[in-house]
Amino acid sequence: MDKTNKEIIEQLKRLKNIQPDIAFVQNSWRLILTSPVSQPKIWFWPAKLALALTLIFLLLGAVYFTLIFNNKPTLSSNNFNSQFLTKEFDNLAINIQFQELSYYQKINQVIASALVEISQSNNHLNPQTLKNEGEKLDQLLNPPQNPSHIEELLNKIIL
Amino acid sequence: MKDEKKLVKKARKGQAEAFGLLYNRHLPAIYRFIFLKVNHQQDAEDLTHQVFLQAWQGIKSYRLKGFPFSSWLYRIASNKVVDYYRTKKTYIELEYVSEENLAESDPLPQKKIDTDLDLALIKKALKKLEPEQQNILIMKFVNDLSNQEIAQAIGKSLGAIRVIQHRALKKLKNLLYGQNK
Repeated sequence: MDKTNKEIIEQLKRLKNIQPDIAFVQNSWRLILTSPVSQPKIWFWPAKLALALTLIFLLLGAVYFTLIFNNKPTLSSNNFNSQFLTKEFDNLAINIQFQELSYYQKINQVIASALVEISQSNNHLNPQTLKNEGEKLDQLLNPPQNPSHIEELLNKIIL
Repeated sequence: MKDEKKLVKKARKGQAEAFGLLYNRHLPAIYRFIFLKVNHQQDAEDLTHQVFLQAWQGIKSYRLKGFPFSSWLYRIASNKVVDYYRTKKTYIELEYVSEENLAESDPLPQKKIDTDLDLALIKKALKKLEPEQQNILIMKFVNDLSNQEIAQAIGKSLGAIRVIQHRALKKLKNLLYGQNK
């Protein structure tokens, strides 16, 4: 350590002479003694513990129910195979196209036959036919409430 | 040290006499530390009182884990000084105060010390250091704390304390003697 450093340290050490005022020391101590010491909040610990335990039980319950009621299929390594996935996807597209084709063929036939029927025959506009159909519809919607009729029907079914 | 541990244990049980002994033992050093940081007797007394009041009120939260009681007190004191400068709006920087004013503004107990011009200068130079450098020099050379105790009080490694101490002395030397010496 060089001379200057020694001198500085010597001067710093002389600052030790700084002393507090005796009146302040006594007064401060008197004030400190009259102040209450804070008590550690032990009473709060059981509440915290109870809260923590409740949360743990809830968490465990949630995990249990998730494991029991979760019916999702397990993942196999095959599911992540890119070739397998591509093949599956291609087949899916073809199947959809076949279904669409079949639907359009059927609907075309139905439309064609309906158009033919309308253009060639006007039987469906005959008043007598319409009246008969209306009567049949009434019978279907409002069947007779006569018990004898019901008995007759029951006998038919049984015999 | 063992004696201090016993006193701390008794104080934690609420024994005011035990805390009184700790108070008498550490008050001068803590007061010196704060006074050299704020350079005002009234403020230094207020802050010192707050440090010991907080220590007494929070003594049950203090844990004996190999740290000396003084380290805990220095930590509280350092925080109080930081808060003091944070809240003090009418703080006058010491470098703008002339030597005469510095001597006049100092209260009675310090007047005796400041009769020596060198001491007034070193106090002024000390104020120009970084707060951490000030803390370390005051703890080490004014209050005779070991590097270990300083490290625990400041929360830094022993190596860091040595480095800061070396830089602080170098800076202080430059401030007092310039680059010539």
